[in-house]
Amino acid sequence: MSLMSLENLSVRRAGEVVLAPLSLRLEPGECVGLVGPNGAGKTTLMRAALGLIGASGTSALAALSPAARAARAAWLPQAREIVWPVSVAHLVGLGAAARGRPETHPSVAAALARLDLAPLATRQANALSGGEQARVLLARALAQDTPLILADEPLAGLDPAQAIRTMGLLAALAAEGRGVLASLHDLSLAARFCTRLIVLHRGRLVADGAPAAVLTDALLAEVFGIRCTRVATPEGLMLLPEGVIAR
Amino acid sequence: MSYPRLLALLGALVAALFVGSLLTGVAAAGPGESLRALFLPEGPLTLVMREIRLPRAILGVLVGASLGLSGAALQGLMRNPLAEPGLIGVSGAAGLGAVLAIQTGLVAAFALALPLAALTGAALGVALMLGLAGRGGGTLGLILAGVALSALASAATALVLNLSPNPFAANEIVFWMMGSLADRSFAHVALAGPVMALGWALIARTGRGLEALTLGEDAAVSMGVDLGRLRLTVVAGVAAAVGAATAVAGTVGFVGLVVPHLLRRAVGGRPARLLPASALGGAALVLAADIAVRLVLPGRDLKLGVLLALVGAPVFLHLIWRMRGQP
Amino acid sequence: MVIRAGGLALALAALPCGAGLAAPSAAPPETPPARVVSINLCTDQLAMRLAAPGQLVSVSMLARDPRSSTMAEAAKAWPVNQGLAEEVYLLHPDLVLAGRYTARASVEMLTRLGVTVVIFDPADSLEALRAGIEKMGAALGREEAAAAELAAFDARLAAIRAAAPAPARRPTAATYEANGYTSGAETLAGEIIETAGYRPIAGDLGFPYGGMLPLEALVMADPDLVIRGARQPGASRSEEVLDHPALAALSGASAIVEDHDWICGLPSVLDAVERLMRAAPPEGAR
Repeated sequence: MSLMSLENLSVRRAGEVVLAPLSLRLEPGECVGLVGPNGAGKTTLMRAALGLIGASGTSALAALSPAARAARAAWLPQAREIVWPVSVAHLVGLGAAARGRPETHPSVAAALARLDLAPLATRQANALSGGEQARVLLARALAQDTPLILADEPLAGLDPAQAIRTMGLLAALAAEGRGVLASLHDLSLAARFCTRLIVLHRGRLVADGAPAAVLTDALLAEVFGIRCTRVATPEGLMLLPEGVIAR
Repeated sequence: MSYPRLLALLGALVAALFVGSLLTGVAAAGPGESLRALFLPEGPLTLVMREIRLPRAILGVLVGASLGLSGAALQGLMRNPLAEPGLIGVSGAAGLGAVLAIQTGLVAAFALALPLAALTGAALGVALMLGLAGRGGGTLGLILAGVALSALASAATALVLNLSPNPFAANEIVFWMMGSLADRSFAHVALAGPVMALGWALIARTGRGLEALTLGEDAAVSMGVDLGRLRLTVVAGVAAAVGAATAVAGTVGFVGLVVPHLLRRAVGGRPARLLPASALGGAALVLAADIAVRLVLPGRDLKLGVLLALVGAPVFLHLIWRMRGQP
Repeated sequence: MVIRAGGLALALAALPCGAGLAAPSAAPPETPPARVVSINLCTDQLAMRLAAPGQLVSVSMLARDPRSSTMAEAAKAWPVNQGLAEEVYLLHPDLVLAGRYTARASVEMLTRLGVTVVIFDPADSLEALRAGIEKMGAALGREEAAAAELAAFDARLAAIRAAAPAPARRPTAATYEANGYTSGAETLAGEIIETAGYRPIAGDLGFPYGGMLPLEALVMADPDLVIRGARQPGASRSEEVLDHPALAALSGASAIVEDHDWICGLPSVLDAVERLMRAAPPEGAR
């Protein structure tokens, strides 16, 4: 059964079509990268799929009750809000609480361990560095122990090492049988770690498939307005943006 | 400090201040004599203890707990440490109800007419505010509606005072609005108690939702929180608790703002734990202030709201000053 | 914590209470009350005049304030109270005298504790003043003393009315106090002014019950007599308007009436009437 299935989902805002009707399915084992220029509608797509904003068409996820949805999908928003001076352990525990589980549930300790947060467990979460906070919030999503994880720009503001590690984790989670949908700007990392890429351009879905097949020169020029050099490495396809194409 | 230890400490503080409040008054009787008179019938002192001091002390706990709890709940909902119960306009609306009752002479109709009128004002005000904000208004809509209600109630109150043909009534209004627990009886406890209890029951259910809001509204919704229902529950609970508190004690500010602030670090920032802690802290603060008003000017009716503002403002400024360098 | 206190309260409520919680009684008792406590400025002064020796046990602290009370010196003979229920109750009164606007909670509490409380409305006319004296006499069981006061009052009032000039045109008068407050025409102050032979113009200016009179309106009305309150010790911004040059330039006569002269419905308001009569401008002078 699909983890996420969208049928003619579209979003209008102030009379304008922000997301044109699109349909797609996400299966267990897939690590899907959602790419596209700024304003393409990536965040809108994910929020509409979750039912956080109004949309026409259907999304199986949005139709679930809040509790069932929280058990099916964990959402990692782009805005990294931590309002109160809580400890890291408590914050990660909120993920388990979303499932009605206590802070002592094994999923919490597992999430802390997986993101190397054990030494920081008693620290105040919003006093940590940006990168550390990102790890804490990702651990929360993990502690929610859901089959599907949706992440909005999880790599924003991370140093190269942490970016690679985060992508590695997301890919590993998919390989373990979960489904991951993450919006990304770094095309190289997307190509390297994602099993499938979905490209959005001005609210439309313009490509959907394996990274090598999707990231053609034509698409890069048309959608992103850039010229890239391709390098094949043992780790995977590497894209080096060389210049901007004047439109 | 562990959470159970904190609650035990606060509870002990409230108990000690409760006894202190019972022992404060103009009657020339020592602590032992007063406490004995409370339990064993012993002439007029017994009546003083049971009918004057005991309900006053109980109301100190109830009013303080209501204000502290409401402050913590609102701060949790608005995700802002500057939120306080007056923000949703319920104390202003209760005040307007009381003011109209005094002005029209309705207060003379029967005992408790004044608190009932204030309670009615609070209920109508909150209904108006929820009608304005609606379920789809979002938290910002709620704040704006509350501010509008506050402004409306303030303006109406000022208008009544302005056009009041009766300077004595105007005086009574002004003094009532300064907040006081003097000479409140068990009749007041019986009127306000159940309404406050309803408010507490509603607020107690919001702990989980407020915890999830630590991560922002979006994440909270995705974690299973029904935000519309949470807002409604918090607002209704605060309206009941603060409406009833204002109805019997007048406008007592500051407690809902300062107590959660003082206790936040002690509960590790956790909104759900802050709720009971703030209730106890609020009770302690109001009891302490109510003792102080009787000690500072014995026999006089120094207003509770005035003392809390006089003491509270510098405390708050000090808190802000200390916070300067922190995130 | 609350449960404990609530439980305690319930347990205590079940025990028989000392004096019992009587229903509020409206009529004063048959025998004259032996221990009377007054907690309102106006009832203080009336009671001090009418009570039998030893009957009045305590007066409010305002009774000793010379600005508010005409009997400030005399009031020193009685202990003062602050008006709160605990203090008053422990004086073991069998009658408490209060004003309509005395702290509501305290009056309700005293009634709840079984104390008889008689409430007096502020007098808004000479008729009401007389009724108040009668009511006080009945409450204290001192009907004869009250009748004597009333007789003296009536006689003096009649004498004043006889002596008052009846000019072809009654001179106009207005009161003007801090913040521009003017007493209304339909109030005790208004009637005092009328009895002294003036026509209070507050009514014409739209203030039957008093209010803030714009200085412009006062100047345009140019009353024959401007009655001011005495200045309070300690400057207040609200009194600034009393120094306005326009006020000083008014051509009418001016007189001063203190707060305590007419804030309460006492026989001594006739002193204020006489003072106002003496301030009248000579006929034909304007």
